[in-house]
Amino acid sequence: MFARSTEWIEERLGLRPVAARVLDHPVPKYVTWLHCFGGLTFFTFLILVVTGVLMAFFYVPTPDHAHDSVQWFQQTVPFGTIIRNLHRWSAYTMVVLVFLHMLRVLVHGAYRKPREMNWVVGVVLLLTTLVFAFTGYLLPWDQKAYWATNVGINIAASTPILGSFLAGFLRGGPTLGALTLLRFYALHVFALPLVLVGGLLFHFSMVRKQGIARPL
Amino acid sequence: MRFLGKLLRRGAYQPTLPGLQVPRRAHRAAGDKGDGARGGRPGLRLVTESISRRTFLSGTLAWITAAIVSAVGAPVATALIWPAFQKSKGDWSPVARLDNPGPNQADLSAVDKPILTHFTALVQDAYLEAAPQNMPVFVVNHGKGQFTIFDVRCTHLGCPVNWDQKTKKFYSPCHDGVFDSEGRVLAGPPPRPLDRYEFKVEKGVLYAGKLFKVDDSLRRVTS
Ligand code: FES
Repeated sequence: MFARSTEWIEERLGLRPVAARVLDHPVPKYVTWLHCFGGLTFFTFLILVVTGVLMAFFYVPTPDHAHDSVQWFQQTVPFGTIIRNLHRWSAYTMVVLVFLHMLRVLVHGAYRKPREMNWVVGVVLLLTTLVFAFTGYLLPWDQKAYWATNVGINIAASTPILGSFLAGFLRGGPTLGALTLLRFYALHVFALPLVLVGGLLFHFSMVRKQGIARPL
Repeated sequence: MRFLGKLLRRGAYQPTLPGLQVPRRAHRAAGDKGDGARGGRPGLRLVTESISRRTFLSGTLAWITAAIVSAVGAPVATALIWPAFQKSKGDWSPVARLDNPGPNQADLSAVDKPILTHFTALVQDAYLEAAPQNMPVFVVNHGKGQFTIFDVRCTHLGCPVNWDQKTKKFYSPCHDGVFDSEGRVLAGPPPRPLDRYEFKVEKGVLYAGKLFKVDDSLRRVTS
């Protein structure tokens, strides 16, 4: 039955050649396990998307409710603890993997011509990941989140000339409060995912177009 | 790791799946369980069937993918549908003092006349233990401590009904649903009489309890 229904769909959409074009391609002999870091980073991103979308169904981004809704999600909703920790650990892992991936590219010299643009996009993706981590840290709205964000904003404030503007922009005003939480939330769940997915599309298609760099 | 690396690199690697097959003419001697435990007896023959490396790898990949998807998907799906199974635990909420109503309370002394009022129920709203919710109701005092508390929401699609004192009927403003003074459907699309709240009177105060449905002969149908 399964085979028949796939046939039915295939007759109408003809997706097999497309899938073959995307998935079936020769991998060069010099590919090693070290080349997995990029793919693994993407894998953690997928887990973050799934668990993050689920938590968005339960999270309330306001100062009076954020902490309570997170606690309630963990203690009352089935698998809440697992899902939230999966999100947390995937986030930590993603940051580590992104750096390992960058290190591999650096050591192999894979950033050289003609791949410079993909290196630049990769750096944008790295920064996006770090902003993801920074904004996500505030959302549980507990003491650690509050003070860590306070420190983060103070670091931004120490930028020469632009410092106080940056801090005010991040805080959404003079106090760390409702608007801070809301803009971190909006960045974390709306703006950054768009940037990251856009960057990934470019990154992946360039890898496919240019192939994997020969090691030195 | 080394094993997989070999699989990926070597061109002509052909893994085989062993399978047990009983030859046609083999028959069991008495006492032989057919497990081949008795030495040397050729009851069972090992045959092998080879599959291509590509099939083996893509099959393995598909199973691993399925395992990961279900490991992440099952908890996520469970958490997502869980709220649909939560029931509200109805508690008693005060509606009005009967003899000497407070400033924001309805005067329920008129007998057999539906009075539009509301009470505040403290409901569990997700992480809020006691979220105040406004419950508009029609209260009918039948005298002798007997009351009916109607939910104002029409049983068709939930528009708040109005009471008309001249015709002594409830009218739904949305699709011409009409109910009599006891909540029975007289006309229009509503599928059942008006829903009611349990009531009790304690120390001169009228309380509303759980919401319940009634059938056409006004018997309670939901707990
Ligand atoms: S909602 Fe009352 S008749 Fe439709």
